Amino acid sequence: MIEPLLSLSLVGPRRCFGVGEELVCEYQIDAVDPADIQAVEASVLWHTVGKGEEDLGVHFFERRLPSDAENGDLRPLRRLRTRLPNSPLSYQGAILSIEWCVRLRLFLRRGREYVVEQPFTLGCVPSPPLCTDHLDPKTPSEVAVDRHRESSLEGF
Amino acid sequence: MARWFRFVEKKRGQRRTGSPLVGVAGEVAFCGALFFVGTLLLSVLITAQLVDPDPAQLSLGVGWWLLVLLGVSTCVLGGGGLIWVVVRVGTSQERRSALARRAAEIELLAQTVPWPRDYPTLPPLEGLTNSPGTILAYRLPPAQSPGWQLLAAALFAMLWNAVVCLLTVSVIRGHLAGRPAWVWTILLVPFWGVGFWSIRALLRLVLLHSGAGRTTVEISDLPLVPGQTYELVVCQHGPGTLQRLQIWLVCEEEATFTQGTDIRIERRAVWRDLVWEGRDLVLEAHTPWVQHCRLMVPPLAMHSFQSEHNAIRWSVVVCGQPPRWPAFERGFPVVVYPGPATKQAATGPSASRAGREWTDPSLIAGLRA
Amino acid sequence: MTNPFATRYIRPGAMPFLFPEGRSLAQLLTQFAAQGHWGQIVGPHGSGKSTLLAQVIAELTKAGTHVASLTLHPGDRRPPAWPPPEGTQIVAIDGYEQLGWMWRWRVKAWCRRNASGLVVTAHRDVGLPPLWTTAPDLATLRRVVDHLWATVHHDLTASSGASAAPFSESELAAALAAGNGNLREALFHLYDMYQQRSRTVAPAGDLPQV
Repeated sequence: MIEPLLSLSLVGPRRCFGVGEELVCEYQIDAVDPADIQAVEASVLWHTVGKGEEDLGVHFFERRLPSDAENGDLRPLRRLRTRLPNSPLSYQGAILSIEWCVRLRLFLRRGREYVVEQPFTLGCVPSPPLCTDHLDPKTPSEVAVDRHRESSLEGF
Repeated sequence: MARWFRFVEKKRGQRRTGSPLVGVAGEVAFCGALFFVGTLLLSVLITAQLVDPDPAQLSLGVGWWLLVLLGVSTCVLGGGGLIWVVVRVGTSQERRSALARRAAEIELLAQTVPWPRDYPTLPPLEGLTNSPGTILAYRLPPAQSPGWQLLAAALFAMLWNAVVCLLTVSVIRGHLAGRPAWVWTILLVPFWGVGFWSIRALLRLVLLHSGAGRTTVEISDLPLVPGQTYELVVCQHGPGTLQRLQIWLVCEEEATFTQGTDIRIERRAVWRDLVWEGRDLVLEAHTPWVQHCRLMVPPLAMHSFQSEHNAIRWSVVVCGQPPRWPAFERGFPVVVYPGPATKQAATGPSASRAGREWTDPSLIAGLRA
Repeated sequence: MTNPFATRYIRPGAMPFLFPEGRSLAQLLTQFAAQGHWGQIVGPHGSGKSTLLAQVIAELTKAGTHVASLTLHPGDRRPPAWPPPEGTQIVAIDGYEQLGWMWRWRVKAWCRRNASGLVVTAHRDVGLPPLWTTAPDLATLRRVVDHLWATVHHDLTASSGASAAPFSESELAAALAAGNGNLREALFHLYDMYQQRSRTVAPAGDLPQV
């Protein structure tokens, strides 16, 4: 079975944007029968990566059905525009990073899904100064692990 | 000694002449004793009816019920008073007043407010800007009220000692009646050990949070913006002395991960700036020690961030070291918004970004070029 | 540069359970079937129990078995959404030992009544036929790191051109010791080490790298 071909790209040479700037991206779908496509979702979002659970925030979202497209064909090139928000800025921290991307999700019949992403940067926050205290056994970073039904009365 | 411990205290307007530490400790001791007496009385009354009841002693009747009422009242007064005292420890006068006035609207121990509309994922300002300062614009609330910890310790101590009291009276009555329960008698030893430990732990927590005097922090403006300078006023109440007092500006990352029965929370300080430091400070009883200083958020610093499982928090941290007393560390959260230098698109090579980037003047110059 | 030890790559379901030499998922599923589809996966915190269970569930589902997967969060004393949907052939419970004795009896009774299998994870023996015992050791950590290095790290560095050196045995041993034998904590320690290491290797091109 041939896999569908998803093309997602940012318009222009830049991958770094400032707040309030317009982000323009294009996507196109190939190698798939238009009748097989149930829906296409395009979103501009941020998500966290690191030692914690992944959080996600959607800034722009568009879901298109075959009925929204000319001739019911969602494959042709489509351009999206959105003005980027004031926050959160992209960030590469010690235990937490915030990353922005454009995500394209294709829904086909029989429950098949395909996803592609195009990352970009919002703002220009440098990484914080490297802190090595946590690697020193005398000054570990503060970690609290609560094990249910096994916790002890610490701190008394 | 006379300065610390007065039998009679004078009230002068809103001020009191006694030591706040002794005041809190005294209240805890009084309420605890009241609760203990009530528990003891109820234990005697209940065991008299349930364990080897003797019609000649404490028989059911009006008198018995009056004694039960007295015991219950004493327990409620003592227990309620103890809880009230421990909850109030560490809260400012303004917050207590607001709590009494708007009890239904304010949660003392946790506030959840939606993000500011123009700045998604930034913590709300309402909890920080609703308390005006007396010298500067805003008085910052403390990051963590010791209320929950103290409340838990107080509840545990009260409940445990009440149960052990009941058991003790029952065992003693058994011995007096010539039917000693040796197993329970032996078990009472570790039970009372736990009871004394719980009381000791509670008192230690009360002294820890009361002993160093209240700290208040006021700031000239909120939210903070990287690259700008702000006035800060720290008031440390006494009496007493401090071997060292430090005021820090700290940025901390927090990540929460849940898997199975484990909830893992890690916090990592990624930026610390010593704003002010002083040594051998003498704190007066009636006049708080006041320190004016200025702080600046690094021009390229990351802004505050809050999502469901992750956060970047900025706070002013006051660290004090009293002589012959545990050191204290009190955090006062602030909110940092994105700065003008970091809102722009990134340009230039990445290699220069390693290390001391947040205050690197060459980077700032490069961004402005 | 995204860290290959971030939770998105190491959480259960994100990476496969790596069996030691001579053992495989197929053997485990054969054993599970021989036990009447009843079994327990036992091991200490952060040793891969949930990862293995996720893999078993995925494989059974791929084979067409209807699996009702229940995850007990801290404080849960009863299974969420009980009883399982009609047609369930196997009930999988992550964190089984959190259930009180009454709920354990009810779960087992339901499974027997409905001829359903039962596979659970627990930190200690909960009375079901043993299926697998996870034991975090240096060899296990090495397998996990090698897997992350071969897959995730390779994908992350292919485009950026940056590369950090792999970890030595002594570094892995130190990470396992720092995590007190907990595999997940050891991986978090390696996260910090990787972060520190990658900061000194500056990728070319405009900032920042994602």
